[in-house]
Amino acid sequence: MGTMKQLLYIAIALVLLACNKKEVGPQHYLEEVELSAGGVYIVNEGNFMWGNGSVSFYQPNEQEVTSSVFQGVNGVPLGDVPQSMVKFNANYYIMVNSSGKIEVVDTASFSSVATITGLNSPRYFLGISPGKAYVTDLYSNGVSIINLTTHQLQGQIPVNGWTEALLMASNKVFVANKGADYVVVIDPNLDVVTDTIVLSKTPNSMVVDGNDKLWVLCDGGVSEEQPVLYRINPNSLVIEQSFTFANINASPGNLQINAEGTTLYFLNQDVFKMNTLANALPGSPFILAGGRLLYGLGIDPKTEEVYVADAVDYVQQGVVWRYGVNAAYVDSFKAGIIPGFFYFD
Amino acid sequence: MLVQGQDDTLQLKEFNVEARITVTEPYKRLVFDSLLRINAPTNLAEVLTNQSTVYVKSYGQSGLATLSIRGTGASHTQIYWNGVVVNSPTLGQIDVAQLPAWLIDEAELHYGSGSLVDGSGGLGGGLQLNSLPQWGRAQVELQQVIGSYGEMQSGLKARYGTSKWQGVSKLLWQQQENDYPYRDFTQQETPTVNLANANYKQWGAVQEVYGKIGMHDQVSARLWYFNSDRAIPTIMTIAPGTATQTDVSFKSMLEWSRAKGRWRHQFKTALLSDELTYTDPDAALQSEVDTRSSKSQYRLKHYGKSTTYTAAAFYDHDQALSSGFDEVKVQDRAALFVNYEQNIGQQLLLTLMARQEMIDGKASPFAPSLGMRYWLEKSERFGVKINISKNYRAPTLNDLYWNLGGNPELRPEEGWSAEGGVIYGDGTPYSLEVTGFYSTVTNWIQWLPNADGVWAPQNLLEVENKGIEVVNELGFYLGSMKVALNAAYTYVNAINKASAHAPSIEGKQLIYVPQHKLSGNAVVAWKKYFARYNHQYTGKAYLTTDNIAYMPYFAPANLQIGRRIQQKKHVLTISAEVRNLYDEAYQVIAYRPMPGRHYRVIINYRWEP
Repeated sequence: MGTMKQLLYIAIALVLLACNKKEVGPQHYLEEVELSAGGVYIVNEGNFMWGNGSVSFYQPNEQEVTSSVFQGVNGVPLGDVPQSMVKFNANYYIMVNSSGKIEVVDTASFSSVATITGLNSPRYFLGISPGKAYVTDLYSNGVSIINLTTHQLQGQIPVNGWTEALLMASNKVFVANKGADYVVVIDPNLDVVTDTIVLSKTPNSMVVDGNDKLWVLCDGGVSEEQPVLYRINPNSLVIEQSFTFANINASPGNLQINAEGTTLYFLNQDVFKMNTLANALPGSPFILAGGRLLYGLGIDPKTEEVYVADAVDYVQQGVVWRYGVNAAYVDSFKAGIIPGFFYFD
Repeated sequence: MLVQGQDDTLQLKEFNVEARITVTEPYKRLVFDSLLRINAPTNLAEVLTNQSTVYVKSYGQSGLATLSIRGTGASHTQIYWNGVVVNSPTLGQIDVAQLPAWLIDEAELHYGSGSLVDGSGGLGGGLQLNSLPQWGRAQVELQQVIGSYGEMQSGLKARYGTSKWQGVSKLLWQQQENDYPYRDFTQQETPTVNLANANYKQWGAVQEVYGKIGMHDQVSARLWYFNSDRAIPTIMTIAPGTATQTDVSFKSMLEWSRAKGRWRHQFKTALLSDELTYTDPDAALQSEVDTRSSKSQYRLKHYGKSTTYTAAAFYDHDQALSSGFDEVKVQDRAALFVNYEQNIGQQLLLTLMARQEMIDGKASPFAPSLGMRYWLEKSERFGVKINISKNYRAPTLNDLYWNLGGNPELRPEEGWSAEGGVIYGDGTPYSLEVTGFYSTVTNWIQWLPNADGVWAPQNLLEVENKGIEVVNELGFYLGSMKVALNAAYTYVNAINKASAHAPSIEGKQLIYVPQHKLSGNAVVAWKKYFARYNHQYTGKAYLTTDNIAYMPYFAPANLQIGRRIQQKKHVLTISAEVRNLYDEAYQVIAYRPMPGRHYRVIINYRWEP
């Protein structure tokens, strides 16, 4: 009976398939990882609850890119929604937001040194001293204090709501309190909040310029208020200047600055560039989005080249575009899924 | 008609065919009846996973499960309870893991535009879940399932009454700790850990009353209540959380039908209510969705000598209050449907159906369908069938009104589909059904950030699906042993044909649509014993629209062995089941582990006075 035979073959094939040693879970091609100094790391968020975040490495001189550096070196996926990464001491610290952890890797090899767990939703990292760092958080209602010697969560400085960007200026730590429309000031020796600067809705990014002024960009929430860019004196905590965006629907973010601290860059659909001494917001874009949904922005401190990321349809490798100081196209390459953050080594 | 393999320890059911809304022969369908019961499935997701080549996107055992038929999305399968659609008006889809098999008598899957007979929106198909009277039959059935990882399932079913009226009562209670172990490949030491925060407790009740009035009329009332409390697990790379979800679902229906001479009338009206509460303390999040719907329909059918006419009118009202809306959102739908069937000679059947719908006073696309079945021989064993249809899916309330991002300007997704096939035999001893299909969907809705960075749905994609489905069945006796075998295979090539935003994905397979799915069942019955072996193979499915990452294939198997003990009118069936027989480690959805080998004991007692 021909059909019986056919069915038997199918059954045998199925049993063989089932017994075969096989791949489990998500798979993708992993390249040999070769890191070199002076490269650009791209933190790719991936999709929330898909576990497909990654770090890509780009070498600007050779124009070569390596995907999934963490997984390629360590053999396990990075986690869910990595948000940012920074070099401190001799390690890179990668905030993996939705996985509630910080991956600590060696700067030379990217091999895992430690995993700091127990965080709720880490966003950004600021090294305070060789043994201590602050990490902002989406949900934990506070800034986490990390012990960098034991790689453990040591405590928390209570701050209401979402804390986002943070930096040090005039020996104080400034934290963009995205959930409460404040910039919170922390004394890094005492780990306590000492002051609160009231701004407009949703401060999302900050930089310090060459004159030691603090710049804070508030996006105004989702069409709730007009976005505002503030210049603040970090010593007196006085708002020295504020630039209000005309369009209430605009959602500017990703405030960056060049190494000299003279030119601000931010995303507002297009890429904008603004001198720190200017007395008005830039009228025309520096780089046009041109149909792309620009998601991440980075400025190479060595060359002042501009890197922007386009997440395309958010379910495929995003594209990173690299432009020269005169906004001329230099290169483009594929990073991971939803590239959102650049770290320039 | 192809019937999936079943053994003789299971009773056949007498279905009240008149009350059924079904598609005619030019359209493919698949009926699950006794298979709803043979291995005491917890829910419909399990039934469809094991018994069809429909791709069930399962987020873990008893976790969220949605269906993808012929490469379409979850909201392209419309699910009907006794003829009224129960897909959420806000989400457009329904979690089939929340539809317990115990409370359903029969399920029927209508592929592709065959689902136009039920309603619009079934670009992939429609799944009918029916409960039916069995006149003059009294029955009490009790079932207890005890399984691994704290699984307990207790069910009671009773049918009672006379040849004039019948009452049906069903009760179900099920729970599971669901803390199954899995190898965590996302950690360097690949430790074995237990799934956390995945337990559930559910109970449900159904009460139905059917009555015959005089010679021609039949009335019925149906009530359905289901209460589900479950914990929502995270993925492997996220530490276990404490999120939970409660679903309370209530459905009710009154129906009148008359069969007089050549005319059939049927009127039904249903009230549905669903309340969903999702709580995630870690993210300080609580979201609620409450929907209320009323759905009414009238069908008139005339059986002529060689023609059948059907005309139907539908009116649905949905209202929803969701944490995502700024106020109660309402949608009204009115539809007219006609169907005409013409037999020419004994061998040829031509059908024409059409549906026109108005949503909130706006005309939806006209949806016609033309079908033909031809028996190549008079014995009706070998035939060909073809059909071509237009269908569409209207945007959901979330698509239209989600705050922020909802886009009231969205147009319906529109699709053309064609299907052609060959049918041979009736399963004794052999039958074969081969169906090829082709469809395109334009204005496919996709959520993406808009220029202001707000996620918003847009009519963006054009998708083309084509493929082939093969179903083989074989039934024979080996001495006193009855053997039933079936094997089904589906090939789906579902590609992004045009994307306004991301031309790089053109020609690439859609994500989470495996190209190959194979399912095989072998059932043997010998004296009082029976055994069933089920094996499925699901090929790799891409995870990214540029097709660089994928989920590998998986091929779990199940084995069930049982014995029936009968004493006069008492039937006790005891069986043991090994699921995932070869202890395969696999995931359907990325980083959502499925359980390894595990066990169940099913004790079923039936008394038929």
